[in-house]
Amino acid sequence: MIMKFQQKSKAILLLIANLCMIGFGLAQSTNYTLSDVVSISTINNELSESWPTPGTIVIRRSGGLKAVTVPFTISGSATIHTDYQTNAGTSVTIPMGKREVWLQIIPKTDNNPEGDETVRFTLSNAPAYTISGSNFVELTIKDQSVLPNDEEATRFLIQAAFGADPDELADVKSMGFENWIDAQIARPKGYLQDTLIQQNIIPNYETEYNARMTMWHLIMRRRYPAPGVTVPTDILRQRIAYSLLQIFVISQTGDDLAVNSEGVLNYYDKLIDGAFGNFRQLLLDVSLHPCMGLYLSHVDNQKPDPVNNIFPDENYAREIMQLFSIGLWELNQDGTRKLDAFGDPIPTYDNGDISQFARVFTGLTWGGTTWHDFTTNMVVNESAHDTDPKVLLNGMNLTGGRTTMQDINSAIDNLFNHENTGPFIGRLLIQRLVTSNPSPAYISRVAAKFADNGSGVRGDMGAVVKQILLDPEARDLSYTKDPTFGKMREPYLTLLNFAKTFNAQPESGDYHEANLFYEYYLQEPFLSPSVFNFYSPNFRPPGEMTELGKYGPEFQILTAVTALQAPNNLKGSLDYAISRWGTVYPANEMHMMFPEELLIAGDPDALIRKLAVKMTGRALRPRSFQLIRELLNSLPASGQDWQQNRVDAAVYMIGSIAEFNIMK
Amino acid sequence: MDKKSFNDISRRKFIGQASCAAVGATSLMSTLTNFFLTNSAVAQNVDFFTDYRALVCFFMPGGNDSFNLLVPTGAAYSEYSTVRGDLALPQNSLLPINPINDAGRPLALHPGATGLRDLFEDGNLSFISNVGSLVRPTTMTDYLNGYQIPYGVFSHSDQQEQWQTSIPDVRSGLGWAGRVADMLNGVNKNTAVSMNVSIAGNNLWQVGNQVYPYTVSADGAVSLNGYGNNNSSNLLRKTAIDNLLAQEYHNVLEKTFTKVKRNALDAYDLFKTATDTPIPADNLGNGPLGKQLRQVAKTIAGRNILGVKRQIFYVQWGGWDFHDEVLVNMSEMIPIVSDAMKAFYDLLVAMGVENDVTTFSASEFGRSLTTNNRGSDHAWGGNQWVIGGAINGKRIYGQYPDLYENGPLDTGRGRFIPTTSVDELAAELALWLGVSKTDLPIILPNISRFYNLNSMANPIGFMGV
Repeated sequence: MIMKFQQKSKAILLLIANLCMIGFGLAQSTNYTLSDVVSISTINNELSESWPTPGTIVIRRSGGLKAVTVPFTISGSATIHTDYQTNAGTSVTIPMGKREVWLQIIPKTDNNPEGDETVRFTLSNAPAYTISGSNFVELTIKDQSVLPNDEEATRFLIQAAFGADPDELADVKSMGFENWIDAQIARPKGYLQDTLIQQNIIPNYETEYNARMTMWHLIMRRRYPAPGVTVPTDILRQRIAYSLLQIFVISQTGDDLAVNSEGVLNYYDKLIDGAFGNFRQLLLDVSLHPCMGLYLSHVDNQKPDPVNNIFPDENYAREIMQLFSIGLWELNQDGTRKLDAFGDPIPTYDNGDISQFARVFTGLTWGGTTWHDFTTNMVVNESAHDTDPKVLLNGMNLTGGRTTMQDINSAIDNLFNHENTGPFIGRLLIQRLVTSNPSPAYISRVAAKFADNGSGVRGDMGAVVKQILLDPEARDLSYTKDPTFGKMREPYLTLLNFAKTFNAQPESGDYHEANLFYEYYLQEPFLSPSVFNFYSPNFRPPGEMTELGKYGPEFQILTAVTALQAPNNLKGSLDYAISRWGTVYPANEMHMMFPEELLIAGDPDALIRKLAVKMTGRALRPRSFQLIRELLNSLPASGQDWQQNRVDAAVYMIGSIAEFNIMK
Repeated sequence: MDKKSFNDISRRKFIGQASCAAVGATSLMSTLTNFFLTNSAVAQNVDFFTDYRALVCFFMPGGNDSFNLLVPTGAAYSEYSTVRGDLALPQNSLLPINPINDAGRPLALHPGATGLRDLFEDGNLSFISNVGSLVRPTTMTDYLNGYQIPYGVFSHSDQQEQWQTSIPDVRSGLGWAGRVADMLNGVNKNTAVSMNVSIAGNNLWQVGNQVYPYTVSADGAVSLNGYGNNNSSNLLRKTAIDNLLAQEYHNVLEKTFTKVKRNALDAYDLFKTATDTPIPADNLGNGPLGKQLRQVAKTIAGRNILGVKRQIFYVQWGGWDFHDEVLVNMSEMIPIVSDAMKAFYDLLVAMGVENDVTTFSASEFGRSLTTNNRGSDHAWGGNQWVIGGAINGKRIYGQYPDLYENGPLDTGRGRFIPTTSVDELAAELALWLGVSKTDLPIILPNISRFYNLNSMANPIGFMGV
């Protein structure tokens, strides 16, 4: 399916800027009779054989409105047809009323070690115009390489981490994707409960703040470790655990968990363990944790009491199947639904099955030595366990008289070994990391790794994660041309992407998350409104996506309010700080840093090129580039803070548009 | 064929039927509304309705244990207290009500429901008992044979979806309020702000083919800072933003994102102006539910500025999934809901629109009558209410069941098969908004299984004819 898109060589088109009268200066100075001033620049100029995004050369004119033909020559060490293809001939005509034309070159991939090759476009002189600035641009084509370039590495870190942190970017570029993943898996685990305790985070604030605060610290604090503290750098594991929290949801919206952040972080640490651990252990850990026991009410769940007509609680029994392991419908290994003879999907379980599992999950009670200890796994109270025989899925018989843990282990095995679990969990994780609508082939490759990591082990989450991130559908540029590829960047990740990419730091070293984040965005870690997460994996936005039957989970929290609140908060983050503590705690304010960008604020082309790659992992569309450039050109290049104003405007505009907000 | 494409085809077939229906329709209203459904932008008939009407859905996610809201009393109490065990409310705590009609047994309300009691006794509220999602009228035999049972029955996500689509046998991307809006939107002279307004986020219920919900918060809409004509630098930004958003994207996610943002910008000014219209003082307080309902009232107050004659609102509050401590939690939450409903109605009276606005409650399912030790589990049918000056108040509609285990409706543990369908509830409300009977099957494809479209009576009867 995916490969039906145009061949690269056919994709070369002459792109012509639309007529638009934006930018007052331009509109006012445009005159039909004036002679033209022509210039040449690029929208991107660092190309790679292994990441063949097209390079775009832009030829602009100001002054006139008439059509003008601009001849040019192409030179450089790269050879046309061998090293690249282009739609450029020997001249280009800027049509009447247009201000820009775009030419493309697309690198050709070969295995020859040629070193950096160049393509130079030089404008020729002609009577119809004068040339402003340099009369040439040069694009570089790098050899096919196992190591990713800036664009590839940035795109990867948006999927696999929390954005292109400069240190992580350097690691990925020097190690390559697979080695980086292997190294991440081998890194010491960054536990959040330890972080909370060791770093003594905000002991005086209300404790519900501490869980999400600690997560923010751990992700952000690499640069400012507290004295004597080794800061974990297992950013991939953190990202996976964060993603698992959106599957194995607990929430501090209820009173009990709200005031037990240490327990909530202890639970989160089970997800840290499970990120590259075995899924069976993860499912068991989640099932035995008191925070889950409280959240889905199976702590102190008791065997049937026929005298008082009391039945076991069905809550956990239902959700462990519907949300945590197998889902509602029998699945093929590629994630599509199995159908019965009438063409109908087949339910994985019915209410009778739920009552059987409800009886399995009887007999767990609070562990630990203190009242309601949220940091110690639940323990067994055998007298409350239902010891009658049970029948689980696929006809698994549990004989009578077994212990609580015998039954629970059998139930976990029953779900872990169910055919659905690989494709069901695989799809959910792909949706968190890469794309909302993975192809059946992608799901089946991930499900195959779940079934067997290559060494005969089922449920190896490290292998699953690796497959998700290294899969061709995640890595190969051609897949991004599918009009349904990608996912909306979720609000919390967007915040972290900005903070990490632009190295946001508070003077105090205390990382305070943006205040009122949930209220603005309807998302914040540990604050899901229910066990169904902030959005459904099956949410379809109204309109074309619904008509196409395509999912867009994160769109469920994109409303008329959040759609505008997001750019407003970005503006606030640029004008003031990411977390705004004002005059109360100015040292806690986190400011994004733009040391490289400020130096090139006088050259909007260079500024936009750099920001586009840092923020999106790719060049902007030529039209977006043009519009943002014209805005920047309208801002003064002198006066107080002019560089900052231009950088802020560029970051705001890029951060507000679809190319940034849809990661693909 | 996988399920997805199967459903896509079903859905397209549904849309196709809707379009074809216009050809054979005879009544003026049918012709018009179907024309609107096909192309509401072309067919504008803003004079078709002279009055204003609004429908408000109050959704209780999680499954309200509504057999503890509307409770049998008198001789029927002991049956109730037996099946509910430790979940039974004490009889002397219940609030008596005096229905005009005979519900087969005396009924009373949860002790915290004084507001609902007052609305009921004043004739402005009625209950619909044992209502839920059904594919067709369903017997115990049907249930045991798995014959045309809603998919995912007893599950939150599926039952929420089905309350909102009212098509429990097909996965539909459209909600019934969205389909109603597709049909009626042509009577609104201005569609810059959608006639479907959600104060509680995106929801399936309000999504139609052409009408999507305009989603604001309890505090209303927000503007985009620095976007305006008030000075040259803002104008430059505005121009850049407008041009950036005017781009055509090939990728459907990019396209959808851009459209949502564009619509939010386009609707803001008008909505802000409309909802700045002063409204009378109220008793809604500043809790989340009260604020949502006040925002609805403000939007209703701005109806002339918005240029609308029909509106549909979505409000949602609470998490009602009490597998534990259901009595304690309901004792805290029912008064909040009940007081808010009363205060909202009183505000509508003060605004003079109480006869033009109908509010109904919804929740994905009722809960098991039997206990799991201080909690109840997912069930199916539940009790809901309708409020408004236009309704036949002080009545109990539907069939209030006998509350004992293993009866003819009990699928186990006191999870009752509904005896009134969401289709019937939706149909009655759609008719009141102005949809014709002929057009009901377009909005509710299964309705004729529950309701004779040639009948002179309404499907349930709670709306005055």
